[in-house]
Amino acid sequence: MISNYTYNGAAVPVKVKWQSSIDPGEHVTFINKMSAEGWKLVAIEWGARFVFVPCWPGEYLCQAAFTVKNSGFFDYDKYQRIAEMLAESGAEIVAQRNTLGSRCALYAVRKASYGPFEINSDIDSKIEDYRLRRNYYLSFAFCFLAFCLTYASLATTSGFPWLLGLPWLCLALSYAYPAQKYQRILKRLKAERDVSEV
Amino acid sequence: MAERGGALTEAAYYILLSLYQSLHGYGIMQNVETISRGRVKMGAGTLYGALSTLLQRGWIVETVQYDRKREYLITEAGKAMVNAELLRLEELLQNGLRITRR
Repeated sequence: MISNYTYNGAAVPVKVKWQSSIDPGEHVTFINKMSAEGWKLVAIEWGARFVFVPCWPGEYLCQAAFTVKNSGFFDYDKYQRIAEMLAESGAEIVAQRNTLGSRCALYAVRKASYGPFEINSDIDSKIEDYRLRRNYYLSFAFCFLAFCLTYASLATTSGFPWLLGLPWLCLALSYAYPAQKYQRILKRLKAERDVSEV
Repeated sequence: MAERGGALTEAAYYILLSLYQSLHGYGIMQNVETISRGRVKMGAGTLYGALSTLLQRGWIVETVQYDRKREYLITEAGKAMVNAELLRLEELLQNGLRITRR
C-alpha cells in the first residue's frame, strides 16, 4: 500500500507493510529485504505496521537489539544507552509508536556506506542476546500454555466451552516457535565458542 | 563475558585499555578500533554488555555525565587486572617463542 506521510517535515510517499511475526530477527530480515528494494524503514506502529520511505536500493542496513531484562521486563537503561551509542555511530533509531509488544527490541538503520553494521560483534554478547530472546519467548509460551490448560481443565470439570482455550494454545505455539529457533542458534554459537577456546 | 579462567576477553581487555582516559560509549568504540588498527570493531550491544560487567566488578567507574552522556574511567582494581593480563600474555608469548624458535 502506498500513501502520503509526513517525514522530516515534508509529505513523502510511503509504503506500508504489515508483519504478523513477533520475532525481531524475522523483522530485521524483512526490513533489510525492503531496503534492498529501495525502501527505508521510518516507523513501526502497533508492533506490526511497518512504514517505509523511498531510498536507494541497499542504501540502509537494519539491526535490532533486544532490550529486556532477565526478568522479561523492558530494560529502559539498556535501551537508552544502546540507542545513544548507535545514534553517535551514525545510526537512526526507528520510532516505535503505540506499541507494547515490540518494545522488547530497538530497531536501528544505518547507511550501508558506513560499513558492516553489527550490534553484537563478539560471540559472548551474541550468546547473551540470544539467551535473553529465548527466555523471553519461552516464558510467554509457558504463560499462554498455562492459560490454555486452565481452560482445558475448566472444560472437563465444569462444562466450560473448550474452544476458548484454543486462542491461548495458538499464542503459546506462536511464542514457542521463535524460542526453539533461538535455542538452535544458541547451541550453534556455544559450539563455535567451545571450538575457538580449545 | 570477561575472565574465564583468569583471562580477559578481547573486548574487556581493549575497553580497559581505552579507559586509561575518560571516554563515553562511542569514544570507546572509536578508540578500540584505533588501538587495534581497525581489526576490532565493537558493536553497541557488545559494548553495553561489557561495560555493565566491568562496572559490576568495580574495574571501571562512571565519571561525568555532560550533555546526558556517561563517561567511564578505569579504577585501580581494573588497572591491576590489566597488569595481571599483561603478565599472562607475556608468559604465553615467551613460552611460544622459546619452543618455536629454538
